Amino acid sequence: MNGVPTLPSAIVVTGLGCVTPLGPDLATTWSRLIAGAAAAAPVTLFDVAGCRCRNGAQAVLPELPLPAKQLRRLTRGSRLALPAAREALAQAGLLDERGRSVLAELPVSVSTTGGGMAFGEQFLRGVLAKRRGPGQYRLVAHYSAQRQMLDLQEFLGFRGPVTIIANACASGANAIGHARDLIRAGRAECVLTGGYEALTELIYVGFDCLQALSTERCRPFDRQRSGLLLGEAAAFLVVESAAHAQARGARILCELAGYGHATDLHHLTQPHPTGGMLVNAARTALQEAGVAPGYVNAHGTATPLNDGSEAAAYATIFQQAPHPGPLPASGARETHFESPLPVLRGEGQGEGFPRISSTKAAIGHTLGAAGAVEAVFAIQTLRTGELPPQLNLREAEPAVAGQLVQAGERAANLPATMSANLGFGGSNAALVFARGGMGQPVARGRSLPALAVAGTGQVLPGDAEPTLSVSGATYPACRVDLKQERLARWQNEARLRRASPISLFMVAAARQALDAAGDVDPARVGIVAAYGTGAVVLSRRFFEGVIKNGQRFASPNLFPETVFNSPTSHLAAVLGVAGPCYSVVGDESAWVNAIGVAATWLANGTVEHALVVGAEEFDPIILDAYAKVRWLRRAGRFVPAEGAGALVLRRPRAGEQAGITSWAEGFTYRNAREARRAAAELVRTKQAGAVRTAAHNWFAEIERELLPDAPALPYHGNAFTASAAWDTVAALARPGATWLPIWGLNEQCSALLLQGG
Amino acid sequence: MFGFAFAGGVTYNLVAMRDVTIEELKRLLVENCVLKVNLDEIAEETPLFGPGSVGLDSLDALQMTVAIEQNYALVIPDPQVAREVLQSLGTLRAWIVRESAKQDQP
Repeated sequence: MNGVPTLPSAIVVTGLGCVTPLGPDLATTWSRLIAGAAAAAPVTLFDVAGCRCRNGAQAVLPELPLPAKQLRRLTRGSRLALPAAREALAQAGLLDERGRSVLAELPVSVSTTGGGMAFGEQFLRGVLAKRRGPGQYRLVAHYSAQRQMLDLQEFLGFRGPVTIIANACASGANAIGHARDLIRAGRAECVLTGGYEALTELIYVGFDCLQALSTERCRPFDRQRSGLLLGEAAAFLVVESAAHAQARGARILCELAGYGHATDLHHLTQPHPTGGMLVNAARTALQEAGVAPGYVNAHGTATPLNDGSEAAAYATIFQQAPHPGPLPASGARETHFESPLPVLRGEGQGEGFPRISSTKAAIGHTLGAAGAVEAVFAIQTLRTGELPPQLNLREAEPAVAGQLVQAGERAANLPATMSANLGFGGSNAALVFARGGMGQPVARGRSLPALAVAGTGQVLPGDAEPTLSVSGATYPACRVDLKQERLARWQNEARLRRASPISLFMVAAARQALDAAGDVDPARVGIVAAYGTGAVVLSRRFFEGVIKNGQRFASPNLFPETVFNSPTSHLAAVLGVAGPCYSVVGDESAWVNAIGVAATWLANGTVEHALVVGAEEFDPIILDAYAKVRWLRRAGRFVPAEGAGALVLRRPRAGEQAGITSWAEGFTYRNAREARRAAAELVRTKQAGAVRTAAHNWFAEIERELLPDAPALPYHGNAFTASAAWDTVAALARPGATWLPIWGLNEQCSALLLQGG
Repeated sequence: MFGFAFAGGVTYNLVAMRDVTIEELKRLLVENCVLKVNLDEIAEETPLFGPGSVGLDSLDALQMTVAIEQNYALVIPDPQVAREVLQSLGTLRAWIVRESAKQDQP
């Protein structure tokens, strides 16, 4: 690109695609963005008559070459994600003439916060209105985020493991960062990564009740800013090792040169005024990249608190005198969260303080997609030298005044650009993109023979008891006793005052695992939480309140607790963990995805210990949903449950063999026939010591047939990721090797190979 | 005692103003703000925010704003006013009485 060859060790971007409120593809979006277009308009997707604000940034759904029947079962999230992913794969040269992926297996690392939320909203309305019929079945079956990724795999013709990260508004950057981590750790060569978010009533009303939406214009970094504009979008990138890209003759667009993440424990919805954790995340990313950015695509939501904190962070990051010491040799490099800013190549060529803009004034805050869309914009700035202008600015926030991009600005030969994001729950992330050859050598992860298990913890439910559903039917369910001492002791914790019960389960299980592990430094711990349904109690209560009382009286106290990442963030705050914290969503197999994230952190030296938690809570609406998809048809066959399980993982010591030896994932399916095939494929990875998990669902039959002689683990009811965690703890207690199948009820089968101590 | 008022498509649970008691405001507070404190520990003048207070935060302030509008049909227009009105249950009651008197005037 500038005459400097890209090192084979580099991690590069070879494909980009997006669907935004400014256009159905990157070229249209980009030309309108640079021209200063903005997409704010009255929301028409759903009724907003009871809200304080009426505006949003809606996208026009691109046409898809699919039959009408198939289009009907796609959620709006899928309608945005599919064309964006197709564009990225096409640019990377990974599509054949029929529009199918040339790679049969392609891992996906993606982010969303709402998934197919609109289907969930419709379902709850249906239950409250006592509606029946096949429509309700479709809503339950296609609501969860993993279904949208199955839509994507089917549309583009590939399979492979899917990791869905739901870290609120920073998660797009985390998904891309995880793609980089996977390649660094040697777990993948090429990853499809990105984020998608569709506007939905629940989220719109939630932000409206927090009075976070602007009733006039969205003005990022303006002193009179009054709130954000919600938008919707999808963006995807193809990220691969430079060696892989070069071997297949792909055109390299730029290097993904650095990634940093840190957690702000200050408050669930407010950043610390100094932006200290954004400083840490950005410094980690800049230190990895070793090159100074000429442009930063800021988070810039235009809420009073976000932009003030963020501007303070940029002043700290870019105006501080450069650190005099030499960079540590690559390869031996460890990431520390309090690291000073190194001397960066590219500094001194222009000013040290980069140009800054927030593109949220143009396309809105696209939540789970924001980090991915804005990464695509940062790359496009690097490649074209065109800077997206800061729209709607009157009087700039002093800390960044003079740095905000004006209309028509260009900057040729930028060495690098950065994209930064912050989210609910204190998630802070930064990505640095560099011109080919400008990034420094990427420190590869150490291959680990096993993940050692330093401690385990569990919160198990009691025996099955008859339980009422929202619509008034009775089914058995296994509930956790909230009054037991080890849970009750956390109820007076200030941070957990409003929290859903799932947070208590997580804290109690995590505390037990950490106590068993002994000497663990919280500053060097990362958390990965896996969820199937997450904080469903408060989510249902919040939206039921909206339906019954009206949008105007939506509860500001409940809404932040409905976000997937909130219980993870509470756990981090209670334990004092400020390292990376991810929320991974899916079915039972999300537990294996979470272990996969922890494995990359340990291999890359990001953390010393990884706390992996699987947790679910029970709500009566779950009974209605499961009854609708016919999982409860035969009494006693499938019993919904709740609780949590936790593992503390670390690198093994010399000669240590016990722990998680390996895993198999990505055996996806969409219907009963495919489930049988996926199960058979999974069982081909079987090794000695196979057990049955007595899943008590349709897999029970398949499992008996495929593993006739395997002993069964104890059954505590079905609680998605928590069940997978309990089974893992039980398998680790067995002597010798255990092959543990994990039958995901929605989309994916996986297996863990464990070695008992 | 309870009635309904319709304004701009919004339904309020309206309570006659002469009945506003500290007891009912206490219940409103505890029900809306998920407090784990004993009702007896909250007095008319106990501060709601800051050190030595009931321990509310900015989300509780928004929640109380919604609850007051829903139950008394009175809108707290912005966070500045909310800070003044929500100093204690006493200041809240005084504000409700004053604002509803204004509304009753022709």
